[in-house]
Amino acid sequence: MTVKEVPKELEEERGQLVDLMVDIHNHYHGKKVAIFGDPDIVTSMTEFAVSLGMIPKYVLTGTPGSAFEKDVTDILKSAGIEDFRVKAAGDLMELHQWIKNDKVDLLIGNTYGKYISRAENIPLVRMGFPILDRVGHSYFPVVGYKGAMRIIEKISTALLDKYDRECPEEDFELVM
Amino acid sequence: MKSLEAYPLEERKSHILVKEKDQIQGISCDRHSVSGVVSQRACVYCGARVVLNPITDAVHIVHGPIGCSSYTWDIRGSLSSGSEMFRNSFSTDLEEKDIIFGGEKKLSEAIDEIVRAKFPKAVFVYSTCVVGVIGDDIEAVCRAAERKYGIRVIPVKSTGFAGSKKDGYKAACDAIISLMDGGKYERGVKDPRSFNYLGDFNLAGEIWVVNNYFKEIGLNMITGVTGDPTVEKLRKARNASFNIVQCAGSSIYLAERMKEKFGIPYEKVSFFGIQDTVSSLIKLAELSGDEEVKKKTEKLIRIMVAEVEPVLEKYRKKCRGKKVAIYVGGGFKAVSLIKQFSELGMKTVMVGTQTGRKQEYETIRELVEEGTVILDDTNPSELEKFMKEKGADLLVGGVKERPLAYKLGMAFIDHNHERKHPLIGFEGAVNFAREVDLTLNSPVWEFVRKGGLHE
Repeated sequence: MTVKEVPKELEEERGQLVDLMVDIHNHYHGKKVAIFGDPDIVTSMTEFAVSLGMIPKYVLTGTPGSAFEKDVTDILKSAGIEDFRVKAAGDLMELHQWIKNDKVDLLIGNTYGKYISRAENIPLVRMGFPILDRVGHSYFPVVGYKGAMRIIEKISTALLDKYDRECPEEDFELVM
Repeated sequence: MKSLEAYPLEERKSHILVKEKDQIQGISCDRHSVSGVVSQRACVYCGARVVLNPITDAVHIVHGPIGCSSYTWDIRGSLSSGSEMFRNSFSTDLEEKDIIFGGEKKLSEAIDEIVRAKFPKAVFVYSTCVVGVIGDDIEAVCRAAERKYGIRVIPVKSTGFAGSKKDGYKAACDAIISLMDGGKYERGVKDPRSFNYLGDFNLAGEIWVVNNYFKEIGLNMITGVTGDPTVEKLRKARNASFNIVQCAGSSIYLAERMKEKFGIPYEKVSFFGIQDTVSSLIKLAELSGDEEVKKKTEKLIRIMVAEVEPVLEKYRKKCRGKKVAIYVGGGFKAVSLIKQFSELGMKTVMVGTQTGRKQEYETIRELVEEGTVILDDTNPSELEKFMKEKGADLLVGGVKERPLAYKLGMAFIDHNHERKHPLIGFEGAVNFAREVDLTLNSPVWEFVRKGGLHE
């Protein structure tokens, strides 16, 4: 709109993000994830997860409204994902039941997800509101290129930490 | 891109070939690397170590500076059904003083210490570059230790500077022959269905995958060389009626030596990809000359192909038409990979090997389409140049090639000896397709292509 060149700083940030994604893509690509919380953050996290090649299997909010279901369904369908469940006005009890029936590899949502995380041994990446048991969220970005880098770092660390804890001894590697 | 204009170097030109139709073309190979070129090959010692290391209950002592030992510590993804001894790395830790005054004493002390502490069945003592320069007489030290303890202490002549990884393979094969040949040997009755499987190192348990097939069709594998063997098993390898060779680069020399010394014929096989697995199983059944085995083989193939084909079809849809670059150690593996990619509907646009042989390059040339670049003992600059030129989407290689692919915005799959997923046989073909899909179809490449600083 401004007909100006993209500033070098932004290009560099984007470059860093893409570089980081390339280095770690095979560790999250194809992983199934459940995303829950408020619609604004859940919708954008779904879009983000899809752009990483992850499969948002369950997407759920407590807020009522059919617009949410339609938006999220559109995102998932246009990514060619078929096996998913989207629900507005849902609750975590229901999500827990879904997960018990068919597992996911990762949870993305607020602190209330920690009960499912513990019960099912699925790592939780804390995103959204409220986060009651971890610090620093008001200081670190979740938007823009830097925000994307931070979320990817959280996602891949959560997955790899679990792998390192549980993999057979011969698969435990210095370099992943 | 300026730096690339100098490439290929004059001396490298004969190692590069672009396939043209209906033409007799030869490539220079099987030679020492060009001086000053950053070859992707590893050193002589490393070559010897990767072949011998999977001998599970042997002790491997590296006579050299600590770096040689730590660099190859637990270097393979080989699995063991018994001892885990081989996953240690023992070193004489040569330092300045030893290099000036000689390291033989230190070596013999190291052997004493290890034999008393671990009671190994056999000890391999590797020579390194430094040892070659200072001229320690490893053979004498090993002979003395052998007399003292009554176990095999075998010197591995993997002194550096004298060549490349491939010379290390040879040194390792000589050491294996020495292990098979030395000491008392009881000749067993030869069963036509008994054989050794050479050149498979039980990465991620691969030899177990194929051994299941062997059992299914009624054949008896005496031992893998060196996939999950023990010293004892290797000494029985002489009883085999025939040998089959998977990794030709490392083990064809061993097969030749076994033929000449023990009269055991050999045949090349490959269990990578459906096509090669099927034809190798049939070949194996023929070798046994047993009608029952042949029947069982046909049945096994029917069942397995029916099982994996629908899964492969799913991946084929997602991978079809993509272009792939291959850079691996041996020529025979490259051949298998080309076939495997064409099974997935993918096209090989560049293929190179570290130690391929003339005959293998000819097979490669026949297999690939016109315009495909074929490289022998290449370097990162050439890889970069030709992958870009050919617009490859995916590179298959070892761990050294991964950063190169990633920095060029290209998908990558590890097919080297550190990997942890079985890629062999029918099950492996499915794993392979899954791994290709995992990296190739990640949305990240779209973001790379959309540009930024890299363009």
